[in-house]
Amino acid sequence: MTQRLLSNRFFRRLLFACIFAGTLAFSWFRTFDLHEFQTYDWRCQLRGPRPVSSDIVLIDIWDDTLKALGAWPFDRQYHAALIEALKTAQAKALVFDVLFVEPHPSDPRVTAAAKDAGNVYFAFAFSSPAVAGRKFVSDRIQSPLLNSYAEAAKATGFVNTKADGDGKRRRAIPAITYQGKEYYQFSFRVAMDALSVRPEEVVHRGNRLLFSDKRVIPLDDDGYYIVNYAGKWTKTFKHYSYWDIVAAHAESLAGEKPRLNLRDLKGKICFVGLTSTASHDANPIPIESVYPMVGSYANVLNSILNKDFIYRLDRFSNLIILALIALWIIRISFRLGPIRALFWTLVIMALYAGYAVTCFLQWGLWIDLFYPLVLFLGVYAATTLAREVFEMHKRERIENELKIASQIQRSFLPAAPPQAKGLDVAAMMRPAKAVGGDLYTFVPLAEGKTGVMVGDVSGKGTPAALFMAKVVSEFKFSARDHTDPAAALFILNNSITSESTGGLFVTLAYAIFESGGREVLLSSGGHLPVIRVGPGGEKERIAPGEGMPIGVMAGASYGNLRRTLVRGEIFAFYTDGVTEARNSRKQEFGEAALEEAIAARRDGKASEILNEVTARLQQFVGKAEQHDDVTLIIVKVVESHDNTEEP
Amino acid sequence: MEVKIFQENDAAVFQVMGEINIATSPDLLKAFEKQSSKKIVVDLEKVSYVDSSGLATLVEMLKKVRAAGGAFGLAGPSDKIRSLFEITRLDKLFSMYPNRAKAVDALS
Repeated sequence: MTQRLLSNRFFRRLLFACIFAGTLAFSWFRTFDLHEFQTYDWRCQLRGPRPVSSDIVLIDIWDDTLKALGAWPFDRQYHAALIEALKTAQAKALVFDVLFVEPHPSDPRVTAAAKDAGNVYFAFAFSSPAVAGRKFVSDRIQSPLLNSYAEAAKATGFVNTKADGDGKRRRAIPAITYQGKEYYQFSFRVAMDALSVRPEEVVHRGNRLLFSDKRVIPLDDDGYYIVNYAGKWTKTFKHYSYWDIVAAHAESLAGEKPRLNLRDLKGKICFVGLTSTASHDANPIPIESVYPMVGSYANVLNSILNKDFIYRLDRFSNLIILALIALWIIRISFRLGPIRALFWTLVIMALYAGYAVTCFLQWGLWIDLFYPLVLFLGVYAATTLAREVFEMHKRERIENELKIASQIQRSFLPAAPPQAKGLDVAAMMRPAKAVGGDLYTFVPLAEGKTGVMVGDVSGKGTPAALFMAKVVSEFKFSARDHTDPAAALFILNNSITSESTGGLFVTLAYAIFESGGREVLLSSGGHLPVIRVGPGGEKERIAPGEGMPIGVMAGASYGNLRRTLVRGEIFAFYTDGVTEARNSRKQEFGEAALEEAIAARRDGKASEILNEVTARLQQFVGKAEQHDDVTLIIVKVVESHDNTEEP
Repeated sequence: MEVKIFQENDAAVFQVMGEINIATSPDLLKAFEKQSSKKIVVDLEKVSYVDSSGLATLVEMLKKVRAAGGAFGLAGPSDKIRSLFEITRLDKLFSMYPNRAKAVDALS
């Protein structure tokens, strides 16, 4: 049933379309995104460091700070001190990547300092937001900011991050809707203020954020912002120790020489966060395996300020490119041989990979790399396999047809040796391929005469076989009324040359034996000599004087050779497939070996002599391939002109 | 098999090297059909083997040249190839010469 279905063209096309659509679905639904992310990470590593705004600095709460101020969370009075220090230094902004959820005695000091400075940003966190199309919605604030802090802050933002399946933080959530109102992630919030853009004027479409200064911030298909990490942790922004700043400020207030020149921080946007190696707030990113998340926010701001974005090509465009190239590869795989198609598929894959990588390095454009490459190779393999199966079926069909053709050709040849009085005849024919170009036939004639014909068409295979069929038919027709072999060949030749032979000709030997075994007439059209072995083992090769092959020239003449028959003598009619049969050492069997074989078994019946020859021939050839059709007819004279009967 | 074609006097000489067999005879025929000379000498000096399809090709070339009123000659066949022509009685059909020079002379 599957055979029938598969041979139906419509069904084949439908099946192909379904499978193709299925493979495209993997691209659309980003099934292999984790592998794609890996290739994205490599591209980031390859791209190297990005431009860094010198306005952004990191204030690290690191081991030195914890040693000086106590385990985390230490007394909030130090945060107040930091805020005051930075106000004095005239820093542009201070962004706290710290959650202030529970109250603390020092809170009033902190909030007073923040109000005074007027440039402090505090954070809160939503519970994990749900996806709503390309936007994000949350129904609960997981870590609400203390009211006093919220009021003292210049602005607030959430710190929810997006972890990919492998735990890496490649993307940020730009905005979350809560109770109908849209809140921004806090580095976006800082960016807006840095660029003097009012949050109410920001337009949030599914795939971008539009700032009022015409700045377009791209988001990916799912509404995330792809964080463009500018470099490794220690090599990107300038780091300051939280403790150094607080201590330096205290020192300058006390009139001492401060350990740090706080004027370095003038005009800077400072991100404060826990960066201790034991901190839970460090995660892997594309270019580094451990990276404090405060750096992620700094990078978001950096990329927005520098307009240095990463654009992930949307699903639809990826799909179109994928489909077009896949179809192209299918076309190539059908048209070229498997090796060449593989070569070009690999070339296409290399060019695609090169193009994708170049796009990323030059413009930050992220085109799908993993699945397309896998699909291209898979498409080549599937198409080549399908082709092979198809070709196999075609070959099987051709072989079946050849089998039938071989049977038909067999039917042209005599089913059995003739029952001729006074003659013992045995014949065999073995084509080199399914169909061949050798021919032989027996012609029963008037007055008890019997004609024996053997022929060899120039060439091999199907054309020779077709020509052979034509010649056999024509011969049977031409020979039926003639007891003169030369006359029969003359008529046959004129008949054959009257039509196109396709450049083929046939050599022919034709002998007519008289009844009672008195005499034989032999004519030949360019055929090999007939071998005669006498009852005493004498060997002879007989050929009439003239006669070129049938089909060469119209009007060609043929001659007869007359011999009186002797009882016990043997005639062998054969084609050059016998005498020119080669063994693996490229030696030929030869006429002498044929004569020898016949002579050795001359006392036996024709069939026994035939078997002797074929056995010796087979032994000589061994495992070497048969490269020409083999035909052999043995005619033994069992009754001579003196009419002595022999069983 | 390789075929080199060049003019000698006013005859086109086909210098054939290798075997003229079922695989290579179509190439010889193609080379023949590409040129239009009426006097053709096929130099068989460097031909090691000719099978029945090779013979058929030479016969076809001969027929075509004769039909166009031209002259066709074979030059320098080896003993083995000569006996092949003799057995098939095609030696009476072709003009055969011991070498290329004599063939070109005879045709000019």
